[in-house]
Amino acid sequence: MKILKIFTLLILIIFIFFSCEKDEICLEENTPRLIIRFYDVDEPETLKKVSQLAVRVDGVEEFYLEGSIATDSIAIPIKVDYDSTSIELVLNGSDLNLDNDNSDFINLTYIREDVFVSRSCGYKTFFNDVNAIIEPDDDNWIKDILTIELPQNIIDENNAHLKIYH
Amino acid sequence: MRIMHILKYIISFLFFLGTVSLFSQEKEIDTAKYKDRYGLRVGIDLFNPVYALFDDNRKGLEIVADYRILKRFWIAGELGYMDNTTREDHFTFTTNGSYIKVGADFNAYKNALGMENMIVVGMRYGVSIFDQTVNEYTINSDPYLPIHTNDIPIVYNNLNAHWIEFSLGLKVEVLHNVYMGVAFSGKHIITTKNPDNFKNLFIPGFNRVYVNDFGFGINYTISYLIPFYRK
Repeated sequence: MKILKIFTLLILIIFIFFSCEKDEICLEENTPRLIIRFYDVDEPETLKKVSQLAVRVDGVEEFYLEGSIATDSIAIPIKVDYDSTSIELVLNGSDLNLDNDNSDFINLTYIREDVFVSRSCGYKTFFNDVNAIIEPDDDNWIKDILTIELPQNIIDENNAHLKIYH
Repeated sequence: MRIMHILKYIISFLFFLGTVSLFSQEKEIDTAKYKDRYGLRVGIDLFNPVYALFDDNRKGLEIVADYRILKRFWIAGELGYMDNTTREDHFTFTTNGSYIKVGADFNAYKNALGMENMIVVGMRYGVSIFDQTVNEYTINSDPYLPIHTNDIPIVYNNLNAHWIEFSLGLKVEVLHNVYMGVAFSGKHIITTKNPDNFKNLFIPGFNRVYVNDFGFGINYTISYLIPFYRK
Protein backbone atom coordinates (compact mmCIF):
# COMPACT_ATOMS: atom_id res chain seq x y z
CA MET A 1 0.00 0.00 0.00
CA LYS A 2 1.45 3.29 -1.11
CA ILE A 3 -0.59 5.22 1.45
CA LEU A 4 0.86 3.14 4.28
CA LYS A 5 4.40 3.71 3.14
CA ILE A 6 3.88 7.45 3.14
CA PHE A 7 2.25 7.27 6.53
CA THR A 8 5.23 5.43 7.98
CA LEU A 9 7.57 7.95 6.39
CA LEU A 10 5.62 10.80 7.95
CA ILE A 11 5.79 9.28 11.41
CA LEU A 12 9.51 8.81 10.91
CA ILE A 13 10.02 12.46 9.96
CA ILE A 14 8.10 13.52 13.06
CA PHE A 15 10.31 11.41 15.32
CA ILE A 16 13.48 12.71 13.74
CA PHE A 17 12.22 16.24 14.25
CA PHE A 18 11.47 15.68 17.94
CA SER A 19 14.67 13.86 18.71
CA CYS A 20 16.85 16.89 17.99
CA GLU A 21 15.73 19.72 20.17
CA LYS A 22 18.72 21.74 21.38
CA ASP A 23 20.01 23.13 18.14
CA GLU A 24 21.53 26.41 19.17
CA ILE A 25 24.56 27.12 21.31
CA CYS A 26 25.71 30.51 22.51
CA LEU A 27 28.56 31.79 20.38
CA GLU A 28 27.94 35.52 20.61
CA GLU A 29 29.71 37.78 23.07
CA ASN A 30 27.98 38.13 26.42
CA THR A 31 28.24 40.98 28.96
CA PRO A 32 31.47 42.90 28.24
CA ARG A 33 34.10 43.26 30.94
CA LEU A 34 35.88 46.47 31.83
CA ILE A 35 39.25 46.73 30.10
CA ILE A 36 41.92 48.82 31.76
CA ARG A 37 45.32 49.70 30.32
CA PHE A 38 48.15 50.93 32.49
CA TYR A 39 50.31 53.89 31.44
CA ASP A 40 53.37 55.59 32.85
CA VAL A 41 52.43 58.76 34.75
CA ASP A 42 55.71 60.42 33.66
CA GLU A 43 55.36 59.43 30.01
CA PRO A 44 51.59 59.40 29.41
CA GLU A 45 51.89 57.76 25.98
CA THR A 46 53.85 54.75 27.19
CA LEU A 47 52.32 51.58 28.57
CA LYS A 48 53.74 50.59 31.94
CA LYS A 49 53.37 47.20 33.51
CA VAL A 50 52.10 46.78 37.05
CA SER A 51 54.11 44.34 39.06
CA GLN A 52 52.32 41.46 40.77
CA LEU A 53 48.87 42.95 40.31
CA ALA A 54 45.87 41.37 41.99
CA VAL A 55 42.35 42.55 41.20
CA ARG A 56 38.99 41.92 42.74
CA VAL A 57 35.52 43.46 42.83
CA ASP A 58 34.61 44.88 46.22
CA GLY A 59 32.13 42.55 47.90
CA VAL A 60 33.56 39.38 46.36
CA GLU A 61 35.93 37.28 48.48
CA GLU A 62 38.24 35.89 45.80
CA PHE A 63 40.50 37.82 43.48
CA TYR A 64 39.51 37.80 39.84
CA LEU A 65 43.06 38.16 38.60
CA GLU A 66 46.01 37.00 40.55
CA GLY A 67 49.42 35.62 39.93
CA SER A 68 50.19 37.36 36.67
CA ILE A 69 53.81 38.44 36.92
CA ALA A 70 53.39 41.81 35.28
CA THR A 71 50.73 43.19 33.04
CA ASP A 72 49.83 46.40 31.26
CA SER A 73 46.18 45.57 30.63
CA ILE A 74 43.41 43.72 32.44
CA ALA A 75 39.77 42.79 31.91
CA ILE A 76 37.40 42.52 34.86
CA PRO A 77 33.64 41.93 35.12
CA ILE A 78 31.60 44.70 36.73
CA LYS A 79 28.29 44.46 38.56
CA VAL A 80 25.19 43.94 36.45
CA ASP A 81 22.81 44.40 39.38
CA TYR A 82 24.06 47.81 40.65
CA ASP A 83 24.81 51.13 39.02
CA SER A 84 28.26 51.19 40.57
CA THR A 85 31.19 48.87 41.15
CA SER A 86 34.18 49.35 43.38
CA ILE A 87 37.31 47.61 42.18
CA GLU A 88 40.32 46.89 44.35
CA LEU A 89 43.66 46.87 42.56
CA VAL A 90 46.50 45.58 44.71
CA LEU A 91 50.04 46.45 43.69
CA ASN A 92 52.35 43.54 44.53
CA GLY A 93 49.26 41.67 45.70
CA SER A 94 50.14 38.45 43.94
CA ASP A 95 53.48 37.76 45.64
CA LEU A 96 53.95 36.14 49.02
CA ASN A 97 55.23 39.27 50.70
CA LEU A 98 52.29 41.00 52.39
CA ASP A 99 54.31 44.04 53.53
CA ASN A 100 54.71 45.51 50.06
CA ASP A 101 51.02 45.27 49.14
CA ASN A 102 49.36 48.54 48.21
CA SER A 103 45.59 48.52 47.76
CA ASP A 104 43.87 51.20 45.74
CA PHE A 105 40.16 51.36 45.04
CA ILE A 106 38.58 52.78 41.96
CA ASN A 107 34.90 53.51 41.93
CA LEU A 108 32.88 53.13 38.75
CA THR A 109 29.42 54.54 38.16
CA TYR A 110 27.35 53.85 35.07
CA ILE A 111 23.88 53.43 33.61
CA ARG A 112 22.93 49.83 32.87
CA GLU A 113 21.13 48.71 29.74
CA ASP A 114 20.00 45.09 29.34
CA VAL A 115 20.20 44.01 25.73
CA PHE A 116 18.64 40.89 24.22
CA VAL A 117 21.16 38.83 22.25
CA SER A 118 19.67 35.53 21.14
CA ARG A 119 17.77 32.43 22.24
CA SER A 120 20.87 30.61 23.41
CA CYS A 121 22.75 33.59 24.89
CA GLY A 122 19.84 35.43 26.49
CA TYR A 123 20.57 38.95 27.69
CA LYS A 124 23.75 40.93 28.23
CA THR A 125 24.31 44.26 29.93
CA PHE A 126 25.78 47.41 28.40
CA PHE A 127 27.28 50.02 30.72
CA ASN A 128 26.68 53.56 29.52
CA ASP A 129 28.15 56.91 30.65
CA VAL A 130 30.87 55.29 32.71
CA ASN A 131 32.63 57.48 35.25
CA ALA A 132 35.68 56.40 37.20
CA ILE A 133 37.28 57.96 40.26
CA ILE A 134 40.16 56.95 42.53
CA GLU A 135 39.29 56.65 46.19
CA PRO A 136 41.99 58.71 47.89
CA ASP A 137 44.09 57.10 50.59
CA ASP A 138 47.46 57.83 52.29
CA ASP A 139 49.52 56.17 49.60
CA ASN A 140 47.85 55.96 46.18
CA TRP A 141 49.94 54.10 43.62
CA ILE A 142 47.34 55.02 40.99
CA LYS A 143 48.02 58.65 40.15
CA ASP A 144 45.32 59.33 37.61
CA ILE A 145 42.42 57.62 35.84
CA LEU A 146 40.78 58.53 32.55
CA THR A 147 38.03 57.09 30.42
CA ILE A 148 39.18 56.73 26.83
CA GLU A 149 36.07 58.23 25.27
CA LEU A 150 33.60 60.82 26.45
CA PRO A 151 31.02 59.61 27.16
CA GLN A 152 32.49 56.18 27.75
CA ASN A 153 30.19 53.21 27.05
CA ILE A 154 31.18 49.62 27.66
CA ILE A 155 29.50 47.63 24.92
CA ASP A 156 32.26 45.25 23.86
CA GLU A 157 35.75 44.05 24.72
CA ASN A 158 37.41 45.11 21.49
CA ASN A 159 38.99 48.26 22.90
CA ALA A 160 40.18 49.48 26.28
CA HIS A 161 37.76 51.60 28.31
CA LEU A 162 39.98 53.05 31.03
CA LYS A 163 43.52 54.38 31.31
CA ILE A 164 45.30 54.19 34.62
CA TYR A 165 48.44 56.24 35.14
CA HIS A 166 50.90 55.08 37.75
CA MET B 1 9.31 16.08 28.71
CA ARG B 2 9.89 12.32 28.72
CA ILE B 3 6.17 11.67 29.12
CA MET B 4 5.54 13.90 26.12
CA HIS B 5 7.77 11.74 24.00
CA ILE B 6 6.02 8.59 25.12
CA LEU B 7 2.68 10.23 24.39
CA LYS B 8 3.77 11.16 20.90
CA TYR B 9 4.69 7.55 20.23
CA ILE B 10 1.40 6.26 21.57
CA ILE B 11 -0.71 8.70 19.55
CA SER B 12 1.22 8.02 16.39
CA PHE B 13 0.96 4.29 16.95
CA LEU B 14 -2.80 4.50 17.45
CA PHE B 15 -3.13 6.39 14.21
CA PHE B 16 -1.00 3.80 12.54
CA LEU B 17 -3.25 1.02 13.83
CA GLY B 18 -6.25 3.02 12.71
CA THR B 19 -5.04 3.14 9.15
CA VAL B 20 -4.10 -0.52 9.09
CA SER B 21 -7.56 -1.59 10.20
CA LEU B 22 -9.05 0.80 7.68
CA PHE B 23 -7.47 -0.83 4.73
CA SER B 24 -8.53 -4.26 5.88
CA GLN B 25 -12.17 -3.30 5.59
CA GLU B 26 -12.26 -1.83 2.11
CA LYS B 27 -15.77 -1.87 0.87
CA GLU B 28 -16.39 -2.80 -2.71
CA ILE B 29 -18.71 -0.58 -4.62
CA ASP B 30 -20.39 -2.20 -7.58
CA THR B 31 -21.55 0.84 -9.43
CA ALA B 32 -19.08 1.67 -12.13
CA LYS B 33 -20.12 5.30 -11.95
CA TYR B 34 -19.20 6.28 -8.43
CA LYS B 35 -19.51 9.97 -7.84
CA ASP B 36 -17.21 11.83 -5.44
CA ARG B 37 -18.68 13.83 -2.61
CA TYR B 38 -18.16 17.58 -2.67
CA GLY B 39 -18.72 19.67 0.43
CA LEU B 40 -17.40 21.46 3.44
CA ARG B 41 -15.22 19.54 5.87
CA VAL B 42 -14.75 21.05 9.34
CA GLY B 43 -12.80 19.74 12.26
CA ILE B 44 -10.41 20.41 15.09
CA ASP B 45 -6.77 19.79 15.73
CA LEU B 46 -6.16 17.21 18.47
CA PHE B 47 -2.43 17.70 18.90
CA ASN B 48 -2.48 20.83 21.06
CA PRO B 49 -5.39 19.89 23.38
CA VAL B 50 -3.74 16.51 24.08
CA TYR B 51 -0.31 18.16 24.45
CA ALA B 52 -1.86 20.58 26.99
CA LEU B 53 -2.99 17.68 29.20
CA PHE B 54 0.62 16.79 29.88
CA ASP B 55 2.30 20.16 29.61
CA ASP B 56 1.00 23.23 31.47
CA ASN B 57 3.12 25.48 29.30
CA ARG B 58 0.91 25.20 26.26
CA LYS B 59 -2.76 25.87 25.63
CA GLY B 60 -4.15 25.95 22.15
CA LEU B 61 -7.15 25.32 19.97
CA GLU B 62 -7.37 25.11 16.21
CA ILE B 63 -10.34 24.77 13.90
CA VAL B 64 -9.64 23.31 10.47
CA ALA B 65 -11.78 23.47 7.37
CA ASP B 66 -11.55 22.66 3.68
CA TYR B 67 -13.87 22.96 0.72
CA ARG B 68 -13.53 20.86 -2.40
CA ILE B 69 -13.44 22.84 -5.62
CA LEU B 70 -11.99 20.35 -8.11
CA LYS B 71 -11.55 16.59 -8.19
CA ARG B 72 -8.08 16.92 -6.69
CA PHE B 73 -8.13 20.41 -5.18
CA TRP B 74 -9.47 21.79 -1.94
CA ILE B 75 -9.42 25.32 -0.57
CA ALA B 76 -8.23 24.86 2.99
CA GLY B 77 -7.62 26.89 6.09
CA GLU B 78 -7.02 26.86 9.82
CA LEU B 79 -8.06 29.27 12.55
CA GLY B 80 -6.48 28.99 15.96
CA TYR B 81 -5.42 30.42 19.28
CA MET B 82 -2.31 29.60 21.28
CA ASP B 83 -0.82 30.46 24.66
CA ASN B 84 2.66 29.04 25.05
CA THR B 85 5.45 29.47 27.59
CA THR B 86 8.99 28.70 26.47
CA ARG B 87 11.81 28.12 28.94
CA GLU B 88 15.29 28.82 27.70
CA ASP B 89 18.58 28.60 29.60
CA HIS B 90 18.67 32.30 30.48
CA PHE B 91 15.06 33.45 30.21
CA THR B 92 11.42 32.40 29.97
CA PHE B 93 8.73 34.01 27.86
CA THR B 94 5.04 33.58 27.11
CA THR B 95 3.51 34.03 23.68
CA ASN B 96 -0.22 34.35 23.20
CA GLY B 97 -2.29 35.23 20.21
CA SER B 98 -4.37 33.98 17.33
CA TYR B 99 -3.65 33.00 13.77
CA ILE B 100 -5.24 32.17 10.47
CA LYS B 101 -3.87 30.10 7.59
CA VAL B 102 -5.38 30.02 4.13
CA GLY B 103 -4.32 27.96 1.15
CA ALA B 104 -4.97 24.89 -0.90
CA ASP B 105 -4.68 21.12 -0.57
CA PHE B 106 -3.89 18.75 -3.41
CA ASN B 107 -4.74 15.06 -3.23
CA ALA B 108 -1.80 13.07 -4.57
CA TYR B 109 -3.47 9.72 -3.96
CA LYS B 110 -5.41 7.86 -6.63
CA ASN B 111 -8.26 6.25 -4.71
CA ALA B 112 -9.80 2.89 -5.44
CA LEU B 113 -13.35 3.33 -6.56
CA GLY B 114 -15.63 4.52 -3.80
CA MET B 115 -12.89 5.67 -1.46
CA GLU B 116 -11.99 9.22 -0.67
CA ASN B 117 -8.73 9.06 1.23
CA MET B 118 -6.04 11.62 0.67
CA ILE B 119 -2.32 12.05 0.55
CA VAL B 120 -2.41 15.74 1.19
CA VAL B 121 0.13 18.09 -0.31
CA GLY B 122 -0.74 21.52 0.97
CA MET B 123 0.35 25.11 0.87
CA ARG B 124 -0.69 27.86 3.26
CA TYR B 125 -0.19 31.54 3.87
CA GLY B 126 -0.26 32.18 7.60
CA VAL B 127 -0.79 35.35 9.60
CA SER B 128 -0.63 35.72 13.36
CA ILE B 129 -1.24 38.62 15.73
CA PHE B 130 0.17 38.08 19.19
CA ASP B 131 1.82 39.41 22.37
CA GLN B 132 5.12 38.35 23.90
CA THR B 133 5.86 38.56 27.62
CA VAL B 134 9.37 38.06 28.92
CA ASN B 135 8.62 36.66 32.37
CA GLU B 136 12.16 36.72 33.71
CA TYR B 137 15.73 36.76 32.52
CA THR B 138 19.20 36.24 33.86
CA ILE B 139 22.04 38.38 32.59
CA ASN B 140 24.64 36.30 30.80
CA SER B 141 27.81 37.55 32.46
CA ASP B 142 31.09 36.38 33.92
CA PRO B 143 30.48 33.75 36.65
CA TYR B 144 32.87 35.66 38.95
CA LEU B 145 30.01 37.95 40.04
CA PRO B 146 26.69 36.77 41.52
CA ILE B 147 23.93 35.90 39.05
CA HIS B 148 21.47 38.71 38.45
CA THR B 149 17.86 37.84 37.59
CA ASN B 150 15.28 40.35 36.50
CA ASP B 151 11.81 38.98 37.29
CA ILE B 152 9.69 42.01 36.40
CA PRO B 153 7.71 40.88 33.32
CA ILE B 154 8.18 42.88 30.14
CA VAL B 155 5.16 42.86 27.81
CA TYR B 156 5.31 43.49 24.08
CA ASN B 157 1.91 43.96 22.45
CA ASN B 158 0.60 43.98 18.88
CA LEU B 159 3.28 41.92 17.20
CA ASN B 160 2.65 40.05 14.00
CA ALA B 161 4.13 37.54 11.60
CA HIS B 162 3.48 36.35 8.07
CA TRP B 163 4.72 33.05 6.83
CA ILE B 164 4.44 30.44 4.12
CA GLU B 165 3.88 26.79 4.92
CA PHE B 166 4.12 23.52 3.01
CA SER B 167 2.57 20.37 4.38
CA LEU B 168 2.49 16.69 3.67
CA GLY B 169 -0.08 14.49 5.31
CA LEU B 170 -2.76 11.86 5.21
CA LYS B 171 -6.48 12.08 5.56
CA VAL B 172 -8.51 8.91 5.86
CA GLU B 173 -12.23 8.31 6.24
CA VAL B 174 -12.55 6.33 9.48
CA LEU B 175 -16.34 6.43 9.67
CA HIS B 176 -18.91 7.60 7.17
CA ASN B 177 -18.11 11.33 6.61
CA VAL B 178 -15.61 11.34 9.50
CA TYR B 179 -11.97 11.86 8.63
CA MET B 180 -8.80 11.63 10.64
CA GLY B 181 -5.71 13.35 9.46
CA VAL B 182 -2.07 13.65 10.27
CA ALA B 183 0.19 16.20 8.66
CA PHE B 184 3.72 17.43 8.97
CA SER B 185 4.52 20.95 7.88
CA GLY B 186 7.61 23.02 7.16
CA LYS B 187 7.33 26.78 7.45
CA HIS B 188 9.30 29.89 6.66
CA ILE B 189 8.71 33.44 7.88
CA ILE B 190 8.22 36.09 5.21
CA THR B 191 8.03 39.08 7.52
CA THR B 192 7.59 39.64 11.23
CA LYS B 193 7.32 42.62 13.55
CA ASN B 194 9.83 41.99 16.30
CA PRO B 195 9.80 43.80 19.66
CA ASP B 196 12.49 46.45 20.25
CA ASN B 197 14.68 44.51 22.63
CA PHE B 198 13.51 40.94 22.03
CA LYS B 199 12.88 38.55 19.18
CA ASN B 200 9.82 36.52 18.16
CA LEU B 201 11.19 33.10 19.09
CA PHE B 202 7.76 31.52 19.17
CA ILE B 203 4.76 32.48 17.04
CA PRO B 204 1.20 31.09 17.44
CA GLY B 205 0.46 28.80 14.51
CA PHE B 206 4.10 28.81 13.48
CA ASN B 207 5.52 27.32 16.69
CA ARG B 208 9.20 27.60 17.60
CA VAL B 209 11.17 29.84 15.28
CA TYR B 210 14.39 28.08 14.35
CA VAL B 211 17.53 29.74 12.99
CA ASN B 212 17.03 31.32 9.57
CA ASP B 213 13.30 31.76 10.32
CA PHE B 214 12.34 28.12 9.73
CA GLY B 215 9.65 26.25 11.61
CA PHE B 216 7.90 22.88 11.80
CA GLY B 217 4.51 21.68 12.81
CA ILE B 218 2.43 18.57 13.38
CA ASN B 219 -1.33 18.30 13.18
CA TYR B 220 -3.65 15.48 14.14
CA THR B 221 -7.12 16.37 13.03
CA ILE B 222 -10.56 14.89 13.25
CA SER B 223 -13.09 16.38 10.88
CA TYR B 224 -16.59 15.89 9.55
CA LEU B 225 -17.64 16.23 5.93
CA ILE B 226 -20.89 18.01 5.20
CA PRO B 227 -21.60 16.81 1.65
CA PHE B 228 -23.22 19.40 -0.61
CA TYR B 229 -23.42 17.47 -3.88
CA ARG B 230 -21.87 14.59 -5.83
CA LYS B 231 -19.96 14.85 -9.05
